[in-house]
Amino acid sequence: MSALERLDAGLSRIRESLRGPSDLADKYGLPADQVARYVELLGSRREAEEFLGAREDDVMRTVRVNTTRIDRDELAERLEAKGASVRPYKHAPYGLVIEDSSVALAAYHEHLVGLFYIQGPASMLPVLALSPEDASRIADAASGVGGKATQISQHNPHSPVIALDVSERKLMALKANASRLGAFNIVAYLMDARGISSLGNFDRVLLDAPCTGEGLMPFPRGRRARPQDEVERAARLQVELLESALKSLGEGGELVYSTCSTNFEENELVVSSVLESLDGFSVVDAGLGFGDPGLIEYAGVRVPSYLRSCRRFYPHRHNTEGFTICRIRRL
Amino acid sequence: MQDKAALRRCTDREQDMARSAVMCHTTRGLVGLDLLCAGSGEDCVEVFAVEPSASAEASQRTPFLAGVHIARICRGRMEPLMGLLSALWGYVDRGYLIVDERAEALFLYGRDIFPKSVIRYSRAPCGVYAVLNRRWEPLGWATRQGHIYRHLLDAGWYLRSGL
Repeated sequence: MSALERLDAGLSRIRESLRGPSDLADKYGLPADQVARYVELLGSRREAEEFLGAREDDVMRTVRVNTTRIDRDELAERLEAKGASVRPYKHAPYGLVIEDSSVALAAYHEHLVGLFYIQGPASMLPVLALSPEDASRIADAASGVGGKATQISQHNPHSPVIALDVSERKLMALKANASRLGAFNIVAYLMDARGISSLGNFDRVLLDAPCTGEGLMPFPRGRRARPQDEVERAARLQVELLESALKSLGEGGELVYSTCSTNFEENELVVSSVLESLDGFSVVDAGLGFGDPGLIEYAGVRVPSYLRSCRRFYPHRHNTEGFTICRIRRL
Repeated sequence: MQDKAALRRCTDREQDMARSAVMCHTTRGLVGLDLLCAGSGEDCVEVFAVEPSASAEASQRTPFLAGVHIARICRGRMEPLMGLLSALWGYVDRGYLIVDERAEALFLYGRDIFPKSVIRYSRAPCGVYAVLNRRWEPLGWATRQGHIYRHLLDAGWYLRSGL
């Protein structure tokens, strides 16, 4: 059975079993299947309401300090001298939580001259899980504007970081970010990551996959209806991307799969559909010491227990964006 | 768009122009970085500073981008970009202006610099000054025009560009 066939079987079971409280859907102005996903995911109507009630202020506002230019304490002092209130982000050695700031973060001179990058608390974690420090060739298979590619470069400034994206506009923004932050080892290609195998093998691959963005629900820009067929479309693309990306891993190489979505369909179901159809890969601990374990059962679908090693993040539990991270090793 | 042109090794002349522009601001040169170019002399040539490992990677295919875009050569003239200041971070030792906080704030919004705001100065052999704050952090580029330093490019463009 192919990975896509496995995925489709799971999606069809989920579609049949998802039932949710329609009054909650009306209350939040969202499709019934979307609300049903949250009730199923979180196990109760009460917690689904907590998830739906989470707002921007519930998510830590964080920045990644560009430690190639300044250390975290020094930047903290400088921002505090300008009226900001900051504290270290304990889950990332270069993270700062901005409790309060007198001006927009992007307008600080320290930002303009590349001393920090504005990056969400969960968004910083996939690269930590990837630990690319000793890798000799690294790919960021869906790089977008390069937030994580420049983070990889910060961990490993000398090995090539191959960044792929299908959007020219995003790669232009990556170019500006690389220039501002001083990332000299990024090579970017305007291409679909499903063609990544044409670029050879990698020791580390980050696949921060395009997704529904459902983990961004607390933010005004992310609060919108996402019917089940949108989730299914995203999952099909993610299976294709993950399959291609895994095949580009060299022996002993590792891939981190992440999405800014908490949907089971886009995460554990995608990973299990692909891994059950390919030999020689295993999910390993993400090494983050933070987050909830991956799910192994959801809406009548059961996936292998190794998916527990994935890590899940929720706005109302962890004060982060909604996010899921799985680390996969080629044996 | 220039970025789409194939990256290639810079010609000797392009290398010399880029190295001269660098030497206007540092005695150390561009340490540990290769130079790649894109485009032809008939239009403008884009110059990129790239880690050697990434430069080897980029030479095998046609990437959209490699390393940091540091300069543009148009009609035989070299225009430094913000990326050059990233490449020179911590190494600027000549051809600079150090400005006070007020001038820093104004310059980052595209304003010129008046001599009274200049705290320290080193003559620019090529006529273009790296503008730095009191911590020696690069803010942008300026050129002398009469008694003022005319704004050329600043780090605030990033914010204003909406990227």
